[in-house]
Amino acid sequence: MKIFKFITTKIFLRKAILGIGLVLLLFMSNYVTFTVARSIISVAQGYEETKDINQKDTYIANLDPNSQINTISEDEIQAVYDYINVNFKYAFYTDGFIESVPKIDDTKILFGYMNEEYYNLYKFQLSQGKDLYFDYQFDDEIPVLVGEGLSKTYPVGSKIKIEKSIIGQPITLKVQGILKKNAYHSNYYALNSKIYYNFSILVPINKEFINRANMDLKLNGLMDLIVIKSTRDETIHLSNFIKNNLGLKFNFFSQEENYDYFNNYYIQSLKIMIIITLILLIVMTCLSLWNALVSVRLMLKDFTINLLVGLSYSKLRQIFYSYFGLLSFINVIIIFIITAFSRYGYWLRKETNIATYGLFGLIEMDWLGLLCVVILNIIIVIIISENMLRKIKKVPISLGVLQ
Amino acid sequence: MYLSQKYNQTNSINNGDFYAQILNVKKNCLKQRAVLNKMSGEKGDNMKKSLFRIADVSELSIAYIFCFTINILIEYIKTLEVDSYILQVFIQNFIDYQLLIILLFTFIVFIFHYQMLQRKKEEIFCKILVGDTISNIRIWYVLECLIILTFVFLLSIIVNIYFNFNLTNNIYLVLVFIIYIIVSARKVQKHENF
Repeated sequence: MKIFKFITTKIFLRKAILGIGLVLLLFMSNYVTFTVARSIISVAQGYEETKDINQKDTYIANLDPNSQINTISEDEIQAVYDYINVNFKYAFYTDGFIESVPKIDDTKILFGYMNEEYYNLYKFQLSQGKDLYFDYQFDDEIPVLVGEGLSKTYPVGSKIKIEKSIIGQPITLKVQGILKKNAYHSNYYALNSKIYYNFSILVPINKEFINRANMDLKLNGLMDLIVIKSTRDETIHLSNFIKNNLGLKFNFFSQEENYDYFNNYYIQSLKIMIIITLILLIVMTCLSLWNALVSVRLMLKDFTINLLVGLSYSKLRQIFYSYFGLLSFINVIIIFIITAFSRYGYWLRKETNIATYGLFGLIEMDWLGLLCVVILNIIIVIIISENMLRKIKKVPISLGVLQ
Repeated sequence: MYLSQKYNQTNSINNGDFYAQILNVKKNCLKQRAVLNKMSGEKGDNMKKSLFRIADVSELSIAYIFCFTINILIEYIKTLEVDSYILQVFIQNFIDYQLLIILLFTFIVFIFHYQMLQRKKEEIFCKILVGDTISNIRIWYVLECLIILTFVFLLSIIVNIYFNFNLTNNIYLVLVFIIYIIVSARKVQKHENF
C-alpha cells in the first residue's frame, strides 16, 4: 500500500498530463461501449415483449408509409369498426393520451386504452391489487391499473374522477391494481424506444367504449390493431374494406413477416453498430497503449531506480494494475454519475413517459451496461499493464538508471 | 520507508555531485557535436540542426492526420442517409458532440508535445552549452511544428473541398494546435537550466 502510494504520487502524478490523457481516452471508449450496450439490451427487451404479441395466426396492422391521411368522418370509421367487430377477434391498444388528473398538478398523466384480448395477450405484472374486468357499466366505476408513481396518491381502491374523458362524459375510475415498477411498452417499429408506465393509467375498454369514444382513440387504435386467430385472405379483405371506406392503405403482417423484418432491419443495424464500436475501441486501445508507452519512456529512470533498490517486477506489475484499475474505476464512477443525473433529469422535467425508479437512480439496463464497461476496462488495463512491464523488462536496470 | 529513503539518497547524490555531472553532460554534448559534425560534413556550427528527428516528424504528422481524419469521418457520416432508427440515434450521438470529440482527441497532440520536450531536455541543454540561444531553439521548434501543421492542414482542406464539407471545424482544430505549439514553446524556456 505504501509503495503504491509512493509510486503513484512520486512517479505517476508528477507527469499528470499522461494520466489525464489516459482518463480521457478511457472515458470516450467507456461511453461508446455503455451507449451501445444499452441500445442492444433495450432492443432485446423490446423483442421479448413483442414475442408475446407476435404469435401464430396473428396479424399486426401497419399503415402503409405511402398512404396519406385525409379527413375521415365518424361514420366511416365506425363502419370499419362495425365490420371488424363482426368478422374478427382483435387486440386493441393505444396510448399517448395526456389528461390532467385531480390531486396531481403540473404532471402529464398518460392514459393507455386496451381491450380484453390485448390484456390476455400481454399479461401485465402487478405489484399490488387484482386483475382487471371488462364488463363494467359506464355510470359505475371503471377499474384501472396505475403506475408505481401514482400509487402513493391513488392506492388500490381509491377513485379518480375524470371530468373530460375520451368518451365525452365524466367517468369515475377505480384503482384495481398497481403495475410493477418500471413496467414498459416498446414501440413495435422502434424496439429500443420505450415508454414507462410509472405515471400512466391503463383503462380497460370494451366495444361499447370504443363506439362512444372520439375520433382520436378510434383512429389511433386502428393504426396499431392486432388481428388474432385470422388468415391471410381475411386480412386482405379487411385491408380492402379499410381502403374503400377510409382511403387509407393498411398492411397486415404475419408472425413470419415480422420476424423477417426484425432480422433484416434490427440485426443488420445492430451488427453495423457493433462493428463501428469495435473499430473505435481498437483505435482507443491503441492510443491508450501509445500513451502508456510514452509514460514508460518518460518514467523509465524512476522505475529502474526503484527496481535497483529492491522493487520486484511482480510488485511493479501489481502497482500498475492497481493504478490503472483506479483510473478505470474513476471512469466508471463518472459514467454512473452522468447516467444517474440524466435519469434524475427526467424526474425534474416531469417527463412522465420516461421517468424510472432504480437502484441509485439506474435501471437494470444501465447496470448491465456498466458491467460491460467494467469488463472492457479490465481488458484494457491488462493490455496496458503487461505491455508497460514488457517494455520496462527489455531495458537492463543499469542502463535505465543512467538514462 | 526504506525505498523512499534510498530514492531521496539517489537524488541527493545527484545534487551533491552537480559539477561532476555538468562535466559529464558537457562531454556528452561535445561527443554529440562531433557526431553532428560528421553527419553534416561541415566543421562549422550546427546551430540550425533541429530538435525533430524523422521519428518525431512522423509521430507528429500521424497525430495531426488522425485528428483531421476524425473530423472528416464525422462530416462524412453526416452525409449518409440511414434508414434504421437505432443506427440513426447511435450516429446522432457522434454528430451532436462532434466539436467536443475532435477537441478531446487533440489531447493526443498535446501529449506528444509534452513527451517530446521531456525527452529533448538534455539535447536543448547541450545546444545551449555549445552556443545556441534559447530563442533560436524556440523559433526553430515553432517553425517546424507550424510547417508540419500547415502541410497536414492543406491536405485536410483539399479533402474537405473535394467532398464539399464544412471547413469550420478544421479552423478550430488549427487554432487549438497553434495554441498547443505556443504553450509548448514556452516550456522550451524552462529547459534552459537542466
